[in-house]
Amino acid sequence: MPNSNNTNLLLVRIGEIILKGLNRGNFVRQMIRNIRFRINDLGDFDIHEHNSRVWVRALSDDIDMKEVIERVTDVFGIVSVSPVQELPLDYEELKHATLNYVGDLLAKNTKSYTFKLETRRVNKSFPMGSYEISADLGAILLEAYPERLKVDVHQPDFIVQVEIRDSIYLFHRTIPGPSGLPSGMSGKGMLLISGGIDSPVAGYMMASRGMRLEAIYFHTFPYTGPEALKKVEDLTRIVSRYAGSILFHQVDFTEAMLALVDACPEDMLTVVMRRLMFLVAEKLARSQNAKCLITGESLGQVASQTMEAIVATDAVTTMPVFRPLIGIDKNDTVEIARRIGTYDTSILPYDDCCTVFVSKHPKTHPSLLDVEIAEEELDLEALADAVLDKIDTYPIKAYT
Amino acid sequence: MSKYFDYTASAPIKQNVLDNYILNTRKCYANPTSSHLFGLESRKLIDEARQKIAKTLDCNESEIIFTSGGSEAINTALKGSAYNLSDFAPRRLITSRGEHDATKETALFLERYCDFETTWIGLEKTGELKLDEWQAAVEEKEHSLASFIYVSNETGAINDLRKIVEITRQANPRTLIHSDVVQIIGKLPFSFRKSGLDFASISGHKFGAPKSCGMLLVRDNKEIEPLIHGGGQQNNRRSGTEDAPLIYALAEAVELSNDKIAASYERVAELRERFLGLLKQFEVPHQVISPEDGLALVLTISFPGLRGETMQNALSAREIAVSTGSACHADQAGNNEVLAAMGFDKETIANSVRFSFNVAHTSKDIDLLAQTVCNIYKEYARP
Repeated sequence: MPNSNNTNLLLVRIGEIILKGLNRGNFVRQMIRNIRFRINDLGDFDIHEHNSRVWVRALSDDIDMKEVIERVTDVFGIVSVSPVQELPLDYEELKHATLNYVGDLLAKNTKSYTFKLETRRVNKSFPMGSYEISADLGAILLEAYPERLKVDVHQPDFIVQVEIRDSIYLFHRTIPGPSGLPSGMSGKGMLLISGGIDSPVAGYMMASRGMRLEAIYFHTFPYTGPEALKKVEDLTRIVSRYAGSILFHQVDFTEAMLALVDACPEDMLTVVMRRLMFLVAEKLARSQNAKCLITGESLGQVASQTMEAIVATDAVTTMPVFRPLIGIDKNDTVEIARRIGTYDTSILPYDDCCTVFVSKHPKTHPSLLDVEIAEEELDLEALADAVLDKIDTYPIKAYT
Repeated sequence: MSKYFDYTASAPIKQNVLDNYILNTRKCYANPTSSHLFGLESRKLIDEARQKIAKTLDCNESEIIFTSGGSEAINTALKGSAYNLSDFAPRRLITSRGEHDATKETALFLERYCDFETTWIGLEKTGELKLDEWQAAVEEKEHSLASFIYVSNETGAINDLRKIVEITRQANPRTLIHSDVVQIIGKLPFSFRKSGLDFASISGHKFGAPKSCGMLLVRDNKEIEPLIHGGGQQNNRRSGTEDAPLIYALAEAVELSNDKIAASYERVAELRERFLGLLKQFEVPHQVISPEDGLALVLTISFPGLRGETMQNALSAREIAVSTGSACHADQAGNNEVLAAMGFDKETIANSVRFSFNVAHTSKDIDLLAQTVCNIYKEYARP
């Protein structure tokens, strides 16, 4: 069925957040802020809540509504979006508008379609019943387009929907949103991001639970090149489509990394490197008022993600470490990465430091004693403090 | 001071060539096939270009087909010959593991779409194709097409062109022989007539012409089916309006780089020796991948304990340009098929860097390069 139907009004259905009791007002306000953040460069909009729905109205005719719909359907907390036509409470106008509406759709091509008409009458003062309206409008459409339309109430090609509230709303498309909670409702987390497939997805998943994100990236120039940095920035930008603006911390990690390479047994390098990264990330998170670390680890996926390696890494921090992918199969992570649009960037061939400085035969089951021995000649705290002085911070956002 | 050491990937346009190119682009805008005065101007420019090239590369003017560059020339030679083969000719191509992607991918295309079978000849440790293997292959089976790179863009290894042509012809006089001579033009003298080749592919931007121009030399009595059909330009062998000023720039660049070619080459060889000497003097551990008797302009070196990419990034941050293997696949460290065919292990390949020199470099440039390489190695290598 063709899309079309010029409209300047979007009906936004909100999910989980209507369950949130007394906080509900805050949640909805946050979601409206998030919607506004994504579209305010496209023109002027009136965005407000009414009857448990959010309404987004473009205030001028030259706004690219296709782009608006695309962006709004990425906002967490939204269950679905429908572009609607708004009509006064007048049945004659509704008849007229329905004919035009379907006529516009059919004018896109010459195919025949099956359809169905559905009416919801929320406003009980409207003089006609919903069944009566559906039957009558259906008959009018069939009469007007006898060659093109047939009724099928079970599996129609499209459904013309009429909602009668304090106005009448006419639409036929319902585009699913990402659901979840509005970003910004669940505190702030520090995402350890690399150029891989997993960490951007982990960031996305925490953002879907309403968490605001900052991201920390450990750059080891010249071992990793400018392309590697750009790749991570690009990934962050894609995640920010959903999560909102992300403060990006680019860490100059080369000197610290070399100190580890020189002082640490080769088979423990990966674990100790990750411990140092966690330590730096934790210190930074505290100063940024972020309450947790977020990583893309998945249990057993690689040597550094065994139970023992994770325990050894976690021991360095007192901050909770959220690992939304811990029990998720790689294929499913790839699936999400494809859906949110990070996959094609993630598989570009630029290495990050985790791949450049990988141990050839890492210890897969390191104990805390192993860690202690490996770090004997290292002062991790001092290294972390030195690294903190070498951070370049800037915001990354998908929309201006 | 020139900090650009990536001439194998591309060379800057020669100043004279650029000046005339701009001038001619303003002046000679008419279609060279138009019969008015303006068209004639453009055609004269092309005629002059043909004369210059014929003289410099020792070929007939009618043997030149202008193309958009080396890749198109190679594609035209191989596909154009394949499409033109008699039904009785064996659909078999012989080539080597040391080829540029343009040849390799075209061979794979011919396998996929034209029922061709390819004989791939391995490489010596020094980068040349294995002559005995080649000889055995052409003697065992009849090949309609043969294609080999004259000078390797990865290592500078120089194939024995005369010998390859000789043994191929001896085994089967009908075999059409093509060579990718991109890296030798403007660096060492080349005579198409003496080469005995049927086809030679040439790219302009490697010797100071603008990008998007090159040529295929086709022996006068050989026919090819054109890749690009249309208005029948260039004797119906490559349609499309000729860019007269660009073609003239190509010719001028060939001519200029042929001037004092021997002296320039000697100078570059000195620079290369100077660089290698300094590496030794500074005690930078390294393994030279390029053969000693290869083209002096190309020098591929592997530095143990330091990825080529790291060296390249660090040099780039100091505004020095080198490359990690052929620029066409610079981002796949350790995957260099040519070096792998020479028998180098993944580690050595991943650690390799390609320097390419030019007569424009001074001794000071080389000293700075060597010193910088040494500093970077000492700071970042972990053998």
